[in-house]
Amino acid sequence: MGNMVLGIHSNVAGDSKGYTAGHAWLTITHKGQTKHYGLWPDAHPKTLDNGDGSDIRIGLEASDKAVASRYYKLSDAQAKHFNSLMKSVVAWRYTNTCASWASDIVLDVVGEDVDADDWVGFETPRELGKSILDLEAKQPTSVSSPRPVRHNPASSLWN
Amino acid sequence: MRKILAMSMLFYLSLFLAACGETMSYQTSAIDIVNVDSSKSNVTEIIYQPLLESMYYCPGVTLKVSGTRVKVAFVRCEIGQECKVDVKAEDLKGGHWKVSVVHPINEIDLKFSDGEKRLQ
Repeated sequence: MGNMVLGIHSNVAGDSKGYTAGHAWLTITHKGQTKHYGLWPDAHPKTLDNGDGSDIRIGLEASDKAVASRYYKLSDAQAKHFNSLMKSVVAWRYTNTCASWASDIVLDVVGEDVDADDWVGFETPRELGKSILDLEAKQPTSVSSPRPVRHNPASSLWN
Repeated sequence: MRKILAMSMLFYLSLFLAACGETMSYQTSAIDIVNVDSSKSNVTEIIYQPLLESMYYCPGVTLKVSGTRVKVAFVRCEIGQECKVDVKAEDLKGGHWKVSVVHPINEIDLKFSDGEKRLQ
């Protein structure tokens, strides 16, 4: 499980993009292989409607291009915690969007606040993208040079 | 409180989207033209990759003939809605979609919410 790198991504950034535009997602890169995780509504044609099953979908972003990405090296405990979170049943809602979920997972696993709050508290990919770019401007990361392990808050958002 | 405000905002937003859902189109930067094949007589195949969005999808294009030109607009449809298209897109997987437009390439203009450009 060692050397896992968590990525957070958005394909839009900043207020020039539409309020509800774009998408945000997470990746795990391990031993040169990258796996994509995103929160998608059952109503989207890219998904299979799985009813009450989890809206965490794997692999749908593999061909998409992020305009903003940030990477974190995970400790073994953080990697284990991430994997357990991915097995949770999470529902996409207008108040729990792809951006809300990606932001919450990063906060929960590595303790960094990648803010996604847009107007009136609705969490959007464009705000998440802007926050990623702001953080990257202060401390750049890449998949080969992720932010080092800091601590493992292992909070209980989904526990 | 924040969630209530977000829900209110979404209610008005959904009314707005419902009102204009069938005519929404993409910005130029949201459509990546991957390949254009005009080898078939009078048929132009456009392979494109729309911006990936969890709240919208692109079911195809609308066509509007204007003089000797045809305006091709990529339809941006809200999830849960069915939007009218003139040419349905074929899913090529890997994020790529294909539409076949029965017009020669030199007559086609791509129409976006922020402007138009000639395909050729």
